[in-house]
Amino acid sequence: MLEGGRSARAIAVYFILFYSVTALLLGIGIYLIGDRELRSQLDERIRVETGYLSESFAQGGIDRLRAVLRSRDDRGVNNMGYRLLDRQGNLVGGELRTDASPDGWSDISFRDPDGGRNRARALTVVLGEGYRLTVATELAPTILLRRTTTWLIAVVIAVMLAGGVGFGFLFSRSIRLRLVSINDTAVAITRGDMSQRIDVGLIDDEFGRLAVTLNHMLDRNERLIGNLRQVSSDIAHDLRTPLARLRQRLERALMLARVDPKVEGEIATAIEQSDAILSLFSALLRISEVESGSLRQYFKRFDIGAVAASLGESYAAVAEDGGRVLRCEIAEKVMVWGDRELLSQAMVNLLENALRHTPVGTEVLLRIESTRGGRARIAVIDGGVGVPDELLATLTRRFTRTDAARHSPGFGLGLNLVEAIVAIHDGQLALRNRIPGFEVCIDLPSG
Amino acid sequence: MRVLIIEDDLETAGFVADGLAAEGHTVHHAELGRAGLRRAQAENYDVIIVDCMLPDIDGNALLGEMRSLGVSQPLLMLTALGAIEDRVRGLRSGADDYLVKPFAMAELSARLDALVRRGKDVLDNADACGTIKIDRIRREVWREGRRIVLQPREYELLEQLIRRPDSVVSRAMLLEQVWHFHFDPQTNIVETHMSRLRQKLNAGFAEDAIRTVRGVGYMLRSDA
Repeated sequence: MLEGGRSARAIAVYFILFYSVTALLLGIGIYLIGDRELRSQLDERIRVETGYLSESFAQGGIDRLRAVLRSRDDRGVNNMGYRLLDRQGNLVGGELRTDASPDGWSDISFRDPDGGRNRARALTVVLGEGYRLTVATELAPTILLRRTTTWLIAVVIAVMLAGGVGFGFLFSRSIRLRLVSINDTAVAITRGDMSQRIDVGLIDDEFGRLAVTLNHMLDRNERLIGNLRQVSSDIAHDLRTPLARLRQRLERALMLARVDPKVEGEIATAIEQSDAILSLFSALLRISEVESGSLRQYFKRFDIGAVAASLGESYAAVAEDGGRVLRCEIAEKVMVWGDRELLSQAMVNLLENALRHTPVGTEVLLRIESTRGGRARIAVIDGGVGVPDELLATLTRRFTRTDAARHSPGFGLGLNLVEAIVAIHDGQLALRNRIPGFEVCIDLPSG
Repeated sequence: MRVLIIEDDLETAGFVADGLAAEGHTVHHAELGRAGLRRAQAENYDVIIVDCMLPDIDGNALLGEMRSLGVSQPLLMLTALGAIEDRVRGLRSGADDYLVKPFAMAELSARLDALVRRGKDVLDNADACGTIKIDRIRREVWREGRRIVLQPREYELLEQLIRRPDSVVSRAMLLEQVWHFHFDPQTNIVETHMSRLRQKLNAGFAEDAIRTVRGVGYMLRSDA
């Protein structure tokens, strides 16, 4: 199963982060530019006002200046504050209440008439006779600007987060839905149903086009695999047919030639040898039939324990004749979904390996149990000599025979067939050495 | 017995016809499915052999058609590849038995014999062959009145043999009927259990009740 749209979600998060940072930078830029513009406007107004007041002082002296300041403060028209100090630092005009402000341009803090403190831009100039005039105007517009832009950025980021999370969710959900359908199809095909195709969907988007492309590829693969199967089954069939004829001829010869026991012996041996080749073909055809997955349609629910118990009973006698011991530990009612005959054959192959490729006197255990994960487990465990570690991975390949098995009959297809049988049942096959001995485990989904 | 073989491969058909004729049976041959169907309806055969791959009609379809047209004789299906699916489909279409090519003449003959006898078989709860008697309900066995205790597989082997006294039951048939194996295990479990059955049946008796037919199978003797 596909694990949610993790990458789609990550993409959404990255987009949200990217746009938030961009919005933040934009806000900061607007604020800085606005702030500079506002300040230069304020400065200009202060400069003009200071120029006018300096002119008043130059023309009318201190009295004229004080009169102008008083009338301005009384009218309170231009949001400006004034402070006129004499040489000794005594306040002689204006209503601006602030601590000393340095000469030239500065940002000062002043006390409002209602007592609150506020920031202001100020210009202090020295007039003649030691008088110092400070002209200030509130920085309120720039503070308002800062507040507005901060709010704006916060709102924009919040909207972006909400939108981003929402769209991200929808985006990842729609991607997930499309990918899940692709994934489900791939899983079904892997399980052997070559006829499965991806749902193209109603919308003509990238996914739809990808699905079309993938479906084309699957069509082609199905054709090629079909051809391959056809070819291999044709080869097996084409070779089987002449071999079958050969065998029939030999048997006919045997029926006719009841003369010389030597001739009869030769013919009988030739028949045995052609039977051996034919059974090799049968084994190969059986493996490819199992691998094709078509037998899945005959699956039923059954108790694997009951089947194993009956096999155990039959093979205990075989073990005894071969000087070995077969012990069974079979749990009650271990249900699986599968093909009884195929799983019988898998168990037979494992038991035969354990009973043939171990030293005389070895004990072999056939165990059927339900695992804690709710799966059915078939285990064949022997106390023999095990398998060299470097050969473990190759055991399930076709025509693999270990040195120990080299001198007994067989083609080296037994474990390959077991692997195919386990695969068609969606199970897991594990082969491992024990100290001492060897263990083969088949885990199957319970039925 | 009278046998009809529907088979397009003349060599196989000839092999079967000669082999069965040598055993004293009458064999008719049809090359095509349609012709075979007509013969099967017109004449009274004891058993019919049908190849699974005929040029004019699919073997399974032919079997189904025969059954629906009231051909009730035992049908044995021949197939070239031995795929599990072929067997399952063949048996579902109405075949009574199934054999993969190539086969030994003795195997075919044993199976045909079993099919024909099955038709006439009156399944009795008690059965006897020579000195041996079995009780199918209680799964008990006696020889000359002496009780013989058998393991389940040994009993089932004997039951298969006693159904058809004096005729050969092949190794493959025993694998199918006793073990439900349609494959050939590497170890000869039939032989293993047969030798145990034989030991128990013969203990204290001079005559061997079971005859081994080399390369084919076993037979229960009614004269022992």
